[in-house]
Amino acid sequence: MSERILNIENLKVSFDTYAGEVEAVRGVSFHVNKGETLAIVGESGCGKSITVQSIMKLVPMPPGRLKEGTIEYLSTDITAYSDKKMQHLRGKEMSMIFQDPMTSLNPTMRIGQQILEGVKKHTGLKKKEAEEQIIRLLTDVGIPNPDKNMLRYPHMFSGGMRQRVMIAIALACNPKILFADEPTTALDVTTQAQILELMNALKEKFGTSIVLITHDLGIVARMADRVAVMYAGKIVETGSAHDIFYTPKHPYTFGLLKSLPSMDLSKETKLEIIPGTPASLINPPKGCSFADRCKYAMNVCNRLEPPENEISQGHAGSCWLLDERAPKVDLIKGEIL
Amino acid sequence: MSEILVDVKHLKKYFHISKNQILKAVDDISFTIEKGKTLGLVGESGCGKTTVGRTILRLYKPDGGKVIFKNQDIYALGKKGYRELTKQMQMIFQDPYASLNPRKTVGAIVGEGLDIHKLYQSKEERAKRIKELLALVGLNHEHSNRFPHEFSGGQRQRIGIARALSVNPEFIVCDEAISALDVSIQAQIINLLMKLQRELNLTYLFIAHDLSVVRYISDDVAVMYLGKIVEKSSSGELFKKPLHPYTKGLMAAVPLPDPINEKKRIHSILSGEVPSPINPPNGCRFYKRCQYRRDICLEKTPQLADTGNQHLVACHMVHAEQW
Amino acid sequence: MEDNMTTHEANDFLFTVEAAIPHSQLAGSNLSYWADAKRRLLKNKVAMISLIFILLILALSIVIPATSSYTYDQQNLSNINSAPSRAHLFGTDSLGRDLWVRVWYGARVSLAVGIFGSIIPSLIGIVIGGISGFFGGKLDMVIMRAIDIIMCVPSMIYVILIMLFIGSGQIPLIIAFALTGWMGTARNVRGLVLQLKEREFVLASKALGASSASLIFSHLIPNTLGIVIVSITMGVPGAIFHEAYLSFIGLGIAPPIPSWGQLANLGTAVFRIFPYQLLIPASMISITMLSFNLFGDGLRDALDPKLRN
Repeated sequence: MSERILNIENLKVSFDTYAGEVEAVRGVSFHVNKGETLAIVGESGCGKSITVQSIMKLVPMPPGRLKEGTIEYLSTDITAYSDKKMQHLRGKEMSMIFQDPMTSLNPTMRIGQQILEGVKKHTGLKKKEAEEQIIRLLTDVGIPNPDKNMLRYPHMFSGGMRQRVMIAIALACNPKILFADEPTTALDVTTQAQILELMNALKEKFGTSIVLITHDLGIVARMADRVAVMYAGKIVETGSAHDIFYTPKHPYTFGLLKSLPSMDLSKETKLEIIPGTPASLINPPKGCSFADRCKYAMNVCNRLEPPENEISQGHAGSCWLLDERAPKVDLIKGEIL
Repeated sequence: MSEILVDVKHLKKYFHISKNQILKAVDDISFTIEKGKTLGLVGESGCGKTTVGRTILRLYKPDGGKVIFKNQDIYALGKKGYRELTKQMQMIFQDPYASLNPRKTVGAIVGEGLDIHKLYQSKEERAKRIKELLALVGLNHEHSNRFPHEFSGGQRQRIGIARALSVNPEFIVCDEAISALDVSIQAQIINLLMKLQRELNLTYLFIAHDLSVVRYISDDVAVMYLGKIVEKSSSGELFKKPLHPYTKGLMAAVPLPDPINEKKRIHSILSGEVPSPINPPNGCRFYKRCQYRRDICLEKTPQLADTGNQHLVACHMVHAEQW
Repeated sequence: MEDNMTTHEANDFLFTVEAAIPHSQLAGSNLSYWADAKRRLLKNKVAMISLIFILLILALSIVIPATSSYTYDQQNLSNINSAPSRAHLFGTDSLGRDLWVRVWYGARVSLAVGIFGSIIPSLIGIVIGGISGFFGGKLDMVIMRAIDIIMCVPSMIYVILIMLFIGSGQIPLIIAFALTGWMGTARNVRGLVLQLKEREFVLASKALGASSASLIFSHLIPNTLGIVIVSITMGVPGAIFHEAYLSFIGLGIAPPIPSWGQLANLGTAVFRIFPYQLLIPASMISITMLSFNLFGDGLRDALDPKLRN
């Protein structure tokens, strides 16, 4: 059994707005093992970014509010950590890269300097050693001529190169977890392929665990060892990449996979769709939040929240269809058995 | 052979950034679209695909070339002719937030085209038409006096589609019409666009960067790189047998939802990134990133030429069959 | 799981009857832009108190001169420089005129100059800035350079020159402000229009065949209105202040018509002996300017689209 480095139990995060309480994260539990890539996948507004930002304590509070739950890092409860205490963890133990490499770099600072900040803070290396470390890092992330390029400013780099710099900053102190929030969404496909390849290579080299947040199922398939599918502030299904892609058990996961036009679908066949729009997180429905869009909704779904059911080792789903009393349904054929 | 609706001939659109800097966003491209068909236009950011769409609709003034729409040269039309033309050619935009005026109600947005072209006799007729249009795109007609911010991204995109359809166009440019939407909503909009095409016999220019969506929705596909079309063929042929090294690289880079094969496949065939389209070099624009480059690629700009079966490629190496 | 068991009902595991919910539900709040702005403005206490002050001053300036038994120019040389009393709430001045009436009559003058002296130049600015931004190119360059040149001389100098030419009084003041105050608004509006012009909803309208006029009036201007309203509100105290300043140095409003600046001017002469004659009009100017500024701040926050959620 591999070592668990991060364990989240029943995390609930809300935002107080004039329109009422927005329940962005509504009881999320998951864990991250050493050296694995966990993908959290879901559509916009499902709470995937807020989940990760709450773990890093990057959610502004207020208006945000951590209502419930525990966050354990290496078996230490860090739920109540102050910002000061978190500063020692951020960058050194866990770090984060964001979607937009343009706005997450300081435009007035040379990139070498920006990497140095983190290195100096956490390692106390001398200037000479730190500089060598920076050159090593830039080489690792595939930036050519690191000794010259470290003296340049962010605007002199392309989008892909900037994301490489961001990765270098994030990995500067060799953290145990890298949170990547839609790291390639702002990039072109061919650049995206390069960045994903780089992330995989660095994961192998340093043994870093990656928590990858994305809406792109292709990227999940490419990167993830394990997957958590989020919908309306909850994890509806979790399992290995194989479980999720080849034997999905939650109708939402299945619908999501089906709504992609696969490479062999002809123009004559209609795409399967999930009708409607995601549930509101202000006063979310009291039953299953997917019920009103679900083809297989039963009476119970509108009344009670589905519990988590284990399907097989490591594969679990929150859906009443998985209850033993529910009628058996073949999602692929769309038939009730 | 069916009727050609849109015929783009040697279209050019340059932006003058400063005295010595010219951004050749669209540089001598030609294609035709048959009535009732969809041409997919793919490429990465900065390749000029959006500019193509906007120049075809005369939202930008071209720097050369012609667009023949139903046997008339649209750039030769006067003010009145252009107004008539806007009834036949329409556009659906990428950003469902920026493309609707936040101060107007949905009814006013959808009704704008009706007002401009006086497409109704009475107020009742106008209201009825708006109701029909909203129903056509799957929206509730009771929402016509609501404001755009009340709607979700997918619903807003439906409003944008209803606006485009209000004037009964024959040809619609879909400029990244689904790329800002969530996956489950994308499928809804794709299905809607295809249903409308069947019912109203619409012709689409479908501009996108998502290859699998383009493959699914298009009859023909053209691949753009730095202002030029590098490859064009029927959708099936192109995805089965890509010829241009750029097309091959682009296809390899797309991650597919199939973990077993994905983890084995090599994705990044292409090194480097798309260079700036300002003052592009002579010769083949793809030269810098191409693994098959030869000296001739620097000297002579490759032209689109048929390799048989209406599969056009602009690459010296493909035509010389040296690899 | 356990506690759920007990609450299950007989038909729980039957499929629901096909629910028809395809696209009917709405995601966001149902307030229009203006309704939302109003809601936020009403919630802003400071802005509302300022607004009450402004309305109160406006109302009193209309009512008091009309109902008082004194008039602004009625002299009573037997009762000069009397301190505030029952008969004369703000006292009398050196010609025995009732200051209570004169202050509220002065409010009429000052507010009129302030409000129109802000609205009119703003309207000019909107038109010029809108044209400049919308048509762009050479026209834009010419207009912008012209504004640069006009703006490099302090506007007070223009105002004083204009006043010397056309004489003093309320209307000449407003004309002078109109001729000199539009440049800032023009620049702002031009910048906004340049941004809006590239927005997709404007392109969409263009693609629908909309004429330039309809683009300007139905898309561009309504979307700049919020900012323009704020700039008008913030411009009012500036105009009041300029009027006071000009009257103070003897150029603005001609006696015997009082304005706050006039009153302050007259009050300065006797400040050491009868300080109330300066302090009263001076505080009126301050309170009014402060109210307009605070209300303008509130308006800006209420109309700022970035603060919406």
